[in-house]
Formats: sequence, C-alpha cells, structure tokens
Amino acid sequence: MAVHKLTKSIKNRYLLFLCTIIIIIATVLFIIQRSINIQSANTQLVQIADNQSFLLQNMLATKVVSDIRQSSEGISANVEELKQLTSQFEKSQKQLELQANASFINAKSDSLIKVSSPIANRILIAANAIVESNEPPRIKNLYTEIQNLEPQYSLIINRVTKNHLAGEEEGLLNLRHTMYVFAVVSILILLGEYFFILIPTLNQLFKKNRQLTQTNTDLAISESKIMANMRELEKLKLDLETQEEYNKIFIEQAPTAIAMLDSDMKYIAVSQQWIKDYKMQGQQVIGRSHYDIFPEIGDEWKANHQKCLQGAIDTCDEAPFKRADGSIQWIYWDVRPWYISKDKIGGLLMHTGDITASKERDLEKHRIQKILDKTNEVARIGTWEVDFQKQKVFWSKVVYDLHNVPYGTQIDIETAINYYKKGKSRDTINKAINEALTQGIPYDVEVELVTENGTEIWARVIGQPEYQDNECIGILGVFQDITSFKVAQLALNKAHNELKAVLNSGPISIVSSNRDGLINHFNYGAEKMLGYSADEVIGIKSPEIFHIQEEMEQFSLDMAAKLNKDPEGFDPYGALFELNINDTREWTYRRKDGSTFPVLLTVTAIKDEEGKSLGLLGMALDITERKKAENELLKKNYLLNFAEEITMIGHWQWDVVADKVLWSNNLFKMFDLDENTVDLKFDSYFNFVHPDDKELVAEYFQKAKTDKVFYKFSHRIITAKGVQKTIQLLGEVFTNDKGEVVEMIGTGQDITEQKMAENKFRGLLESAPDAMVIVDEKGNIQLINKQAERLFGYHIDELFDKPVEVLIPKRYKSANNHTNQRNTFFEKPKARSMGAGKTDVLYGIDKDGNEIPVQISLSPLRTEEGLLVSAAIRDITQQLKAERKIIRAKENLEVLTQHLSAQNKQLADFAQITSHNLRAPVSNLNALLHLYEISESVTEKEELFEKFETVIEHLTSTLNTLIEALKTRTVSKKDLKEVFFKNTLDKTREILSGQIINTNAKITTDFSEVPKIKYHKTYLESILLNLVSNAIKYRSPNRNPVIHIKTEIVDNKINLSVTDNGLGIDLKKHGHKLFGLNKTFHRHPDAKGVGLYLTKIQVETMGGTIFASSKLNEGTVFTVIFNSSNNE
Amino acid sequence: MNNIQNICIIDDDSIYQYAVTATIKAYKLADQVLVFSDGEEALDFIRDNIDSSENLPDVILLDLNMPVMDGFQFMDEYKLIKPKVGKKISVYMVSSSVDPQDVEKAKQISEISDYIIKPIKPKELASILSAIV
Repeated sequence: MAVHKLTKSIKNRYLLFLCTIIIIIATVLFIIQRSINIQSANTQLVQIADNQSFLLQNMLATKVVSDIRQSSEGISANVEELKQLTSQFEKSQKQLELQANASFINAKSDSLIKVSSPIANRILIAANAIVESNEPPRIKNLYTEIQNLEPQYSLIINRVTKNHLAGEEEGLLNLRHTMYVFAVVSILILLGEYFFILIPTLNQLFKKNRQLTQTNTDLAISESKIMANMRELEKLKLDLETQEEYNKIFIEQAPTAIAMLDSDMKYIAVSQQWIKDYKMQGQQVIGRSHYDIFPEIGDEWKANHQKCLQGAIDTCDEAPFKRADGSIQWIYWDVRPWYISKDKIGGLLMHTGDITASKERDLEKHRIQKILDKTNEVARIGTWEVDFQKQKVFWSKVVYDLHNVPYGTQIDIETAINYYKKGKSRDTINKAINEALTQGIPYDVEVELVTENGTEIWARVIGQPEYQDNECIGILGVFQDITSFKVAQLALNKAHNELKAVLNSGPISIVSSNRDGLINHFNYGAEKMLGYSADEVIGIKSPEIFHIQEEMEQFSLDMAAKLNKDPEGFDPYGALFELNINDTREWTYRRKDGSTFPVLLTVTAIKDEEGKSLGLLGMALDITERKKAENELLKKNYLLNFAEEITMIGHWQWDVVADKVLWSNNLFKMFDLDENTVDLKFDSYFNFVHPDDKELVAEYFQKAKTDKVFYKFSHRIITAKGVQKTIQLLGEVFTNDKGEVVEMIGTGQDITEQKMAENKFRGLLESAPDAMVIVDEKGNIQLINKQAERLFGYHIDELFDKPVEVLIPKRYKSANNHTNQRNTFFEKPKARSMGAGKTDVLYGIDKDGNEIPVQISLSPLRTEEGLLVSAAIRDITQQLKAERKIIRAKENLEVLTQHLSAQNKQLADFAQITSHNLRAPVSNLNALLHLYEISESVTEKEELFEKFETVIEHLTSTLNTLIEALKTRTVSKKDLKEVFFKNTLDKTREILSGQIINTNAKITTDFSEVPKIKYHKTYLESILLNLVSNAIKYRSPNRNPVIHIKTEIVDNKINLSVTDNGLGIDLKKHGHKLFGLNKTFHRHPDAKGVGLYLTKIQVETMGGTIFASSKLNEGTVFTVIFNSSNNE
Repeated sequence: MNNIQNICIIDDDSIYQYAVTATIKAYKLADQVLVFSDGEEALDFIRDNIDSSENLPDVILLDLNMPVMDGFQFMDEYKLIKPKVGKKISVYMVSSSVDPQDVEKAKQISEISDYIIKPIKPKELASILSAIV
C-alpha cells in the first residue's frame, strides 16, 4: 500500500519534472527562433543595402565606360546597362524601404532608410534622365549629379549597414544574456524541484528499498535458521526416541514403583513394581490416562500434577490414598517433571512406594500404646521399686505424676516416705515396709499422701519384697491413685449417716409391723410424734393403737372400691402386698395422751428376698402445719371469691400450650355458668364473646401472644342466660425459657355498669355543642366526642392515647412549648379559657394539616383514674370572619369619617377662603364707593373708577377660581382615564411655550418608572400646568430656569415631583399657607396665588396629597402623591 | 384735637392701600401715611428708624394675609424689637378674614390693640385714631 502510494507520488513528481523541462525547452526554442528571425531580417537588410551601394557604383561605372567608348552604340549600350541598373536600384530601394517597415528593424535604421529614400529618388530621376537624354553634356551633368549624390547615399547606406551590424551584435549579446539568465533560472527551478520534491521521495524510495533488502536478508537468515533447527529437531527427535526407549526400559525394570507420563498425563512407561503396587497386572496401561486408571484421584492431586507440569516437584512421605474400592493404601511419592529440552517439560515422573503394610503396623502399635497409656492414665496406676542395696527409688512416670513431681527427679527412700500423710498413713506405710523388710510380708494398703504441690490424695500401695540369698534387697510395687474412689466412698458414708439422721429425725415416723401385725420397728420420729417409746410398743403392740377405727374401715372400703373388689372381708393390706403397690393418704393419728393430729401416711408391704411378706411399713409425716396452711388457703380463697364477687371480678388461667383454662368461681357466675363446668378451653370463653366483638378479642389475644404483653381491653359478652355484659380483661403473659408463650393469667371484670356510666358520660359529651377532648395527666388523649372528630377529622381510635399536641400546630409546640404549659396546668388545675382574647387567636390543626382558629376552655376533671382535663374547643372561624367583617366595616367607616372630615375641612376652608377673598374686594368696593361719594374732583372720580375696575376684575377672577374649585368637588369614577404624563406635559409646554422661550427655561423629564396614570385628565393637565408655570414664574433672576419632572413609585404610590431652581420659598414662614387662595409669597408682579390653591383642591379631590420642600434661592420641589398605587 | 402724626398701613391689597390713604387724607386723620405691602417691608423700615422715633408710626394698621411676611409673622418679629422702640405704637389688625381662629390668635397677642374686620369705615378709623390721641 505504502509502496503503491510512493510509486504514485513519484510518478506525479516525475510528471511535474518533465513538464518543467518541456516548458524550458519550448521557451528556449521560442527565444532562439525569434532571435534567428531578427538576425535573418537584419542580414537581408544588410545585403540589400550592400546591393544598393554596389548598384550605385555600377551606375557610376557606366559613365566611365561611356567616356571611354565615346561612341553612340557604346552610349546606347551603356544606356541600356544603366537602364537595367536603374530599374534594379529602384527595385532594391523599394525592397529596402519595405524591409525597413518590418518590425524587426530598429528605429534608427528605419529613419536612416527613410532619409535615404529621397536621395535615392533623386538618383533615380537623374538616372532615368540620363537614359532618356541624348545630349552628352546634359548626361554629363546628370552623372555629375548622381556622382554628387552617391557619397551621401552611400554614407547613409553604410550607416544602415553598420547600424545593423551593431544591432546584430547587440542582439547576439542580448540573446546570450537572455540565455544565461534563462539557464540559471531553469537550473534553479530544476534544482528546487529536485531537492524539495524529488529528493525526499527518492529518499523514501531508497529507504523502502533498503528496508526491503534488509527484510529479504533477514528472511533468508531465518529461513536458514529454521532449516538448521529442523535438522536439529529431527536429530533431537531421533535422540529422544532412542532415549525414551532406554528410559522406558530403565523405568520398566526399575525395582521401585515408577511411572513416566506425558504432558497429557498418559502413561509412557511404568515399572513392574508400579503394576504390582497398584494391582494392575494384565491391564493395558501404556497410552492410557493416569486419571482413567485411577479415577479416585481427587482434584487436589490433579492440581498438584498441573503444578508439577509447570516445573514444581511434589514429594510426600506418607499419605493415605483412598482407592476406588474403598481400601486405604498408604503411599509415599515423588512427582517431578521430566524435560524434553532445557525449558520444555515432556511430562511427569512419578515415583511412589506402597507403605500400607508398615503404616498399618505402625498404627496398630501406636493404638495399643495409646490404649495402654490411656488406661494407665485413667486408672492412674504406676509402678515403683526400692533397691535397698543401692538405697535408690525408681518411679514410673505415673508415680511421678501422682506425686506432682517432675518426671526424672531423683527420689530417695526418705523423701518418698515423707509424701505419706503424717500420722496414720505414714505409720501404716512405715509399719508395712518394716514388716516386708524384716519378715518378708507383702503389703497392700490404702493411705493418704500429700503431694509436692500440697494436694491430698488417696493411694493404694502394693509392695512385694524381693529376696536374694534370703535377704530382702528391695521392694517392687504398684501405686494407684484411688482418690476419687475414696472420696466417693466417703461421700456414700456421709450420705448413709445423713439418711440415718433423717430417718431418726422428728417429723417422720417410721413404723413397721411383722406378719403378725406387731410393731417391730418404731423410730425416733414415731416416738416423738406419738408419745410412745419404742420399748413400749415393739413386739407388744399393733399399729392400730394410734389409728382411728373409722379411718381404717374407710381405708378398707376405699381400697376395695379402687380395686373393684368386694368390700366384704377385703384385706386391704394383703392387697397392697399382692399388687405390690403402696397407698398414700391423709390419716389421723392418736397420741398416747389421746390427742389427734393429721398425718400423710404411706403404707407399703415389705417383702423378703424371696418375695414373701415380711409385714407392713408405714411412713407418716405430721401435716398439722400443712393442714393449717391449707385451711388458711381455703379461707383466703373464700375471701378472694367473696372479694371477686363484690368487685365483680373473676380470674382465669389459660395454659396456652394445652389450651386448658381455669376460671374462678366468680367468673363462672359472671358468665351465668355452673361452677362445675369442666374442660374449659379458650373457645369456651370465646363463644361467649359478643359477635360484634369477636374480632377485637381475637386480635387482642393474638397481640398478647406476639407482643408477650397483655393489653387491657374491654368487650361485650352474652352470658349463658343471654344477658349482655361488658367485661374488661387484664392479664399477664408467661413465657418459657425459649421465650414461647406458655400461659396467660388475668382477670375479667364486669364493667357493664361502669360502661353504662361511661356511656352516659359519653352521651353528655356528645351532646356538648363544642368539640370536647379529654386528656389524661400525661397529656394523652383519652376521649373525644363526635364534634371533635368532625372538627379535627380524626377518629377516636387514631387519637386514643396520643399526645394532645397532635392537634396543635407545630409553631405552638416550639415557640411556647405546649408540653410545659400543660404540665403547669396539671400542677395547678383550674378552669380557664384560652384564645378568647382578641389579640392572640389560638389555632388547632386538623388531620389534613389545616389550621382552625379556636377558643378553648380547659377544666380539670377529677376521676378515680386520676386527673383528667376536659378541653372544650370552639371553632371560631365563623366568629373570626364576622369579627373581621365588623373590623373591616369599622375601618371603612373610619375612612369614610376621615374622608368626610376632610371634606368638612375643605368646606370650612372654602367658607373661610370665600369669606376672606370675597370680603376683601367687597370691602374695597365699599371703601371706594365711599371715597367716590366724598370725592369732589372729576379726576379723583376717574381715578376711583380705575380702582373700581381693578377691584371688579379681581373679584371676577376670584369668583372664577372659586367656581373652578367648586367644580373640582364633583368627580366620578368614569372621569378617570389613562393619562400619559408625557402627553400631558407636552400640552403644558404648548400652553407655556411663550414663557418657556422668553425665559429660556429648560424642562427635563423622567417618566420611565411610571409613564402613565389613571386620573382625571383635565386635573392632571391643570396640576402640571400650575406647577410648571409656577416654577417658571418664580424663577431666579440670576439663572435660567431648569425644571425637572419625575414620576416614581414610593411606598406603592405614584409620586410626581416638579423640581425647579427658582427663588425658593421660606417654608418656615409660609409653609402653612402655601396652598391657600390668593396667597403669594413673593413681591412678584405675576404673583396671583390662585394656582396652588386649585392644584391642592384638585389633588385632594382625587384623594392625593401635595407638599413642597424648598430652599431660598436654590429652588423648590413640589411633590404630588397620587392616591393610586399603580398605573392601571 | 391733635392729629395722629404718623399712621402706618401694612397691606398687600393696593386698592385697600389707596382707599385707606384716601380716606385718611380726606378726613385729615393723620399727618403722614406710611404704606407697606408686606410685613417685612414695614419691619425693615422700623428697624432702620428705630433710633429716630419721630419717623416711627403711632398707629399700625396691620393686615393679616400678606405675601412674604404676614401679620402674625410681623408681630413675632415686632415683639422682639419692641423694647428697643422708644415710642408707643398701637397695632390694629385689620383683616377681611372672619376666621374665628385668626380672631382668637390676634386676641392672644397683647401687643395688638384690636382686631378689625374689613371693610374699615372712615368713622371707625377716626374713632380708633382719636382714642389713641
């Protein structure tokens, strides 16, 4: 691919190269051709020029010839020649001129030729004249003329020739230069192409080529290597085959069990021993897989084999090999890989040995030793030897152990003796050893020892004296730890003694009688109990002396009844013997002094070893106290029953496992059942449950089982007589060690009446008009009525025993901590009401999270169960609504009042203003009139008339203003229009245009925040007009008026401010009357004091306000606050 | 009967000025009439002539509603300079205002001799002036 691309690129580059060369050659050819053309043209011209000179010379020569000849025919011949020459000259001249016109001739030659042509003409004319003339003088003259002209012409022609030759030389030089330049450029281009285009490509090509060559060489080398390898391999294979053959033979004949496997775990060779060891005689092994032959080989071994095939060596000294047939073969092995070459593993060599036989022997020996050791250990028997001659003692390990002495410690006779407990034991052993030494008597004693660490043990020591030549040289013996045996024996003795003590103790009397009915044993207890001494009764009396006759008869009857025998002539004691039974019951014993007491007597027949009757044995326990307690219990039980009856409580016990139920008497009564009803089960109870409550009861009992707690609850029952009662159940659950419920006990109380009372209370509660919530001391809801359910949207079951805070919005809980308040209330319970004040409305919260304004009155409720609080909660939503309505109405009224008083004030103002402003001119009129009356002169009167006019004019204007003001008072909503401030101001500008121009006033605006307002259009126009004209009117004489008008929202109201830089007003002085009628604050000729009055009237009529702020000589700001919160 | 030498009218109403001046002249009630269009002008005059009591008026007829400085404002200022004035000047408030508030307020000011509601008749004027003399 790369090569192909390279080839293509090389081709392209060659093409470019070739093109360049072709272009160069073409250019060279063109240049040369052009140069040749010029050259040839030049040559032609020079030739022609030469020819011209030559022809001219010839023409002159004709004259010379004619001179010589001087004959007419000679002349004519000359004329003929001249004529010919002349025509040739003429032709040649024409050609020259023609040539001169060609483009190749340079300008100088051209002009020269042009100069030559008139001369040539003159020559021609002269020549032609010669030809035609016959007069020799004339001819001579003409020749002279030609002769004169000749040098001129020749000069020109020569110049032309020279010029041309020079031009030619120049052309050649140019050509040479051109060729040089061209050659250099061409070489540069070619070099450029060669270096920048061809060389890299060629380099690439060369590189590729070198690579290819290298690859080829490599290929050749590797090929030869492969060949060599192949040969080597072949040789190796041969070697290997030979080797393998040898190996096979070696392996097959090896004396041990060896197998050679290939890498697939297939047998290559096995030794005879292998076949023998693994009982494979007659089997085809070679070539088969190891695992086929030993399918019992486990994964662990297989994994090991794989490891070995990776080069590991696996050896094992002994391991059980469980064969497929179930037998265990003990083997050792050495598995290691064999190598074909240095790094290549050809398979595995397995060397194994069957050590089953020796292993089994070992195991057997081990077992026997172990058993022996164990036995010794268990029996704790050791051997010992005393060598008197050497004064040495030898102990077996157990003996050391028993003495708690480290094995191997040197022991002498004295030390050994000292381990025996001082006193009896040591004396015994000393005596025994002495006897053995002196008299040769062997011994077997049980003695006590104190071991090295202070433990006391019992040991049985057997000693056998050893004689040599009638002399005792030592004692051999056995030492056995019998501590546990001894301890047991001692314990037994103790128990025996204790038993004896018991039998002889007071409360049990043991009396036996023989076959004849006479007492033969009368124990201490019997003596104490009955007041007889043993001596008084044994062998003399029968037990009947302390029995009561009636009881004995009753016993006989009872036994007969029990055994279904005929009571007549029935021998109960015989029956006891025959049936090998005993009888235990309460009897009454009579003491020697005649007093009686109750006993629990067990009568047993005694037999001898052969089963013959020996008599009777009676064991009696004085149960006076028990009897007393029993009576007490009965009495208490009676009381309990009584108490239950009074409180209408019954109790029950339910064995959950066996489903057996016990009821107290009163419970039976409550259920109108016979007390003797037996075989009660849970269902017996459940059957009485009111059908509507069955589910509830089942649920509660199930809960008791799962929670292991019995929750108090009540339900209805229908008694056996069909009476409906309400039973409250209390109970407790008992579990066994595993935590399983085994029993429940509890009480059932008839709370029918209580319930009725409760129902009555409930009825009362329900009839309350308010929602009632009754809360216990812990603040948990106990009861709510239907109204409360309705108000809060909960069912009582959802609220029962829930904290009352459920009904209170969270903010009260956190802010005021209702729990604390509640606790305070419980400390000093007192009826109180909450939320009745106007300032703080309380809120409850219903199930959906809606808050309800409530009024709460709390009252404590003392009950037997403790203090309860009943909260009567009144939803005051409607009340609040009404209240709000009233408040709103009141507010409206207040606004109205305010409005009215404002109007009143306006009216009063109006009256004042009217009176003042009308009175003033009227009083003026009066004064003038009076003056008029008393005036005497006409001029005076005229003057007065003028004054009249002024006053009347003033009066008229005042009246107009007042009328205007009066009109302002009636504005209806429909007069309101959306007015743009800009438009209104434009109108103002228009009206005031004259003043604006005259005063050079500059008005700037900013209506961006509030561009428009819903307002009385005319008023707004009037307001703006007044304020702006005021601003212009009271401008400062020192500066041009600048007025800025701006609208904005301040406190949700539209404000309009008109700011000027005028005279300003001293507001301290005039503030209070700024907007009065006919008020002026300047001694200003234009001041009339009407505008602001009207403006105020208009603003106020629309519900707004207007005020001013000002600084003297700085300017004034009039601000109108519209009573409009937006620009709607 | 001695004429009042100097009477001062402080009122912005030019007609009133004219009428009172004319009346005084017609009835020859005073030798000299000083006319000011507002309180400030009058006050300035008093201040300027405080040492030459012969130039000061004997009676001032003071209007209530005036531009620049009204009657009450004038009185406030006048009270301050009164101790320096070496002449008894009677001040009459003359106004067209029938506002009881104004009347009451004027009565509160001890320096004001009386409150006269316009129009002031020549006879009334004469009797006032004669009372002073």
